[in-house]
Amino acid sequence: MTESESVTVLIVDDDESVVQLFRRWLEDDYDVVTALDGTEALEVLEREPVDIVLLDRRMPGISGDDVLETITGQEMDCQVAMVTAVEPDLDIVRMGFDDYVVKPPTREGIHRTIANLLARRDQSEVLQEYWSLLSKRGVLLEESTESELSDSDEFAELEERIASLRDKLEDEKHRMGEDVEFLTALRNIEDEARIE
Amino acid sequence: MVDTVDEYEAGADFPIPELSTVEAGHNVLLVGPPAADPRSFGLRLIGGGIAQDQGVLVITLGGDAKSILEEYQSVADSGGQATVTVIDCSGTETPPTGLDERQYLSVQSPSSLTDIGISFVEYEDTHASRFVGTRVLVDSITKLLEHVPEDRAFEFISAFVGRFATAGHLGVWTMDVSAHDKQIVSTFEELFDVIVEFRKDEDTIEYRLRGRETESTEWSAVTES
Repeated sequence: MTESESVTVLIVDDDESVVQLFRRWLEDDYDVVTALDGTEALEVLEREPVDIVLLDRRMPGISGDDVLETITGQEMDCQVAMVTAVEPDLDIVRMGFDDYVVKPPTREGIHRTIANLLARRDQSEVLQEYWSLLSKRGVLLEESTESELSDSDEFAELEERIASLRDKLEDEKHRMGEDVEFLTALRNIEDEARIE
Repeated sequence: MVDTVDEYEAGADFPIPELSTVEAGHNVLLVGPPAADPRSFGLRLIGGGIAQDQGVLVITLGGDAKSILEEYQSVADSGGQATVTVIDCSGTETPPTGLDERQYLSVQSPSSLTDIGISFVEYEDTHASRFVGTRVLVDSITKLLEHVPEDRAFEFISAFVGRFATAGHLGVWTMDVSAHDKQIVSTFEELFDVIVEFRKDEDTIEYRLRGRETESTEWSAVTES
């Protein structure tokens, strides 16, 4: 994702002061929409494209967990950070959210969470592109002679692109050191695999 | 963060001299036809030369925990048996004979990618912290591909390879070359630091090495001392 593309963040919390606080922190950098309960959140999600949802877990009526279930159940194309009072344990990764914010949130923490989510989306795209270029190269290697390949500008470009993507992935390898990062990546892959 | 070593030593009788030591955090792919039995080399690599304070983990995607364990026990250095843990992805919930319940983690299916990850993190939390250095064998990419689409399997392996690299583990992976198109094999090879290719010619098993940081070698015979 490039800087110029606008990112829409939906803030969901039954505490209006929290919503206002988040809005103030985020509105300079992102398009912000808000909802004060689960029902309203689902209405927003049906109405407009949302990239990231900051979702309070505990709300009266339709809870954050219920909203999350709808988002994952309907395979909506958005990332979800749960705003929780406690650090979730490993099992909670199964629930289907992409990150979490521990209360009380800080301005820096919220920005970091959103930046992580966007980077992760990028990384998954980089991996997908890497895979598809490698497959393409495999086919070329299979079907062309060595001299055809060494004369081909297109093949040289392909090799270059593959090398640059590999460097990018190497740089981001350290992300996998974090448990939640690692497991969330696996969960996303599993979800995608199931859809295919 | 788990303590680790700088490099892992293969056992003294390991027949591939180029792998006598492997840098910590490196992932090695052993690829060959079943006749050349790449897995047996993998088991020897994780089971041989282990210092008492290293951990060993086998992630079996093929549902043959029992035979893997037996083979492991026959090749492991003394002390190796006590430190092996198996993540069994066949849905079986009881450990094979000879394995303590604490050394056994069960996952419903090879397609339960998140659960494999959770089991691995649980292993690290409960076991790896006791060890300095951990060796992991994942057997096999071929079995994974029976359950998961190729592009997603690629991402899954990439995540684990990254995880092993950052933790300083030794990652050893196997793949049955006869089960896939050449092109698929070469695509997956890109994820690994070292690739050892095996082939069997009449009675002789031969191998050669390739890799980003490894000099390629010609085919040479595996000679057991």
